[in-house]
Amino acid sequence: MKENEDKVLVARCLKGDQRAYETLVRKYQKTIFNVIYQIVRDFSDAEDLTQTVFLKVYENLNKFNDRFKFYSWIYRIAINEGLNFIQQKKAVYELPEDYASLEKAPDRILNESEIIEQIDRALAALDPNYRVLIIMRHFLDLSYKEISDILKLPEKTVKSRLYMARQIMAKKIVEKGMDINEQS
Amino acid sequence: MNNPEYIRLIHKHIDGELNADEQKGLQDILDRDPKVRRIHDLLVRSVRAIGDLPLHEPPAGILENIKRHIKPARYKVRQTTFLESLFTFLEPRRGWVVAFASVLLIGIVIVSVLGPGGPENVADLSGTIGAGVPAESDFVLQGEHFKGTFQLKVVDQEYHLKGAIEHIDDFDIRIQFNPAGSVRFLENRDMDRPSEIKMIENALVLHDRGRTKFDLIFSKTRVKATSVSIEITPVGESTLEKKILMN
Repeated sequence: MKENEDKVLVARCLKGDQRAYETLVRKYQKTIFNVIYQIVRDFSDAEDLTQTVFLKVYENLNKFNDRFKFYSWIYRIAINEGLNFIQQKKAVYELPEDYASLEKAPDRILNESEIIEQIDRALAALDPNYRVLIIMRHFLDLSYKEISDILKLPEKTVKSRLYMARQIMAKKIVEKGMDINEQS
Repeated sequence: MNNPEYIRLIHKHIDGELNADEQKGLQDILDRDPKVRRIHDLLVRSVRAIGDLPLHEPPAGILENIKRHIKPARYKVRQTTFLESLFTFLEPRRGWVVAFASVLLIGIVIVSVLGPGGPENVADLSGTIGAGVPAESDFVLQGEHFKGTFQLKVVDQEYHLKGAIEHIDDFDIRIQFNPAGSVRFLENRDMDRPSEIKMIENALVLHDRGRTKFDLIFSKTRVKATSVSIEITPVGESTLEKKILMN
């Protein structure tokens, strides 16, 4: 129903109904803003890029193929905008490392709010190409097939990169000497 | 560097892709190796925590800025005919149209064969738009790990059902206005993320997980709503129910 609802709104936009586009913006702006924020990690840049995404979506609405899901299309535009922006800034990120350092013993156990903060920091420290996979899989709840379609990568590649991304993120938590495991 | 087998199994476990043999294999390793148990717990909990990351409100004014920059003339406004509008509305609902037409046809046959006929047997739907107003507007449904805060109100010719959910797992919310056909579902506004929504036997069923918000908009029809029933089924908990009568 959600997909049909989007397609009806797109059809109305293409007939010149601007209110239908406003409904689409209202529906997706929070998700798109948060996805872009997770990629670029700056509120002001995320705001500018969110606007750019919705302007691009509007400009290209007549190219949207309604055999596909609208949200996949808009997520693809948002993720590409975020990654292009990061690449232009030429930020330097750490290289991926193996699982071995996950075994390091922790210094202390964290409470719930500290865990969220720690995860947020670990996510921020990831290479954007890994971060985007974590966001798509665990923030947007997309399937491997949907991620593969959006990033135009084979599912197998998506899976192996996501495995690596999870391990690097977990490793960054361990590196801080923190433990998010439950006390037993 | 290749990952050891247990790492692959842990990732498959996170993705819910383990078969029974793999599940047992992983459990055996976890039971005998505290180092692997620790890696497993760390990965599982960190992935779970990502779903709990707070969603930031986008700055106010994004919509206004976008409206200022788009060129409405790009997509030419054209007066649509009644038939075009009807087709646009029905086109994505082809399955429902066929089902409705079949039921209608069967109904006509039954009435023509069995019914006594005459205008006194025809339901009167000629009144004003259904004017039911909820007798109660704010309510909370709470289970062991589930808490939902709801508000139901009437805005012009629409019902707005807002909900803020706090839960750690999946849940279904089934909403049914009575009698059937007294509302039409329009859209979900104010979402934390798009929820899965579908119609099952005249009821709207929303599926989501974790902490989320929604604002479901229903338009009234010519049939007056007399009540709305809300059933919530959080995974691992008993079903919570609420029925609100319309004045």
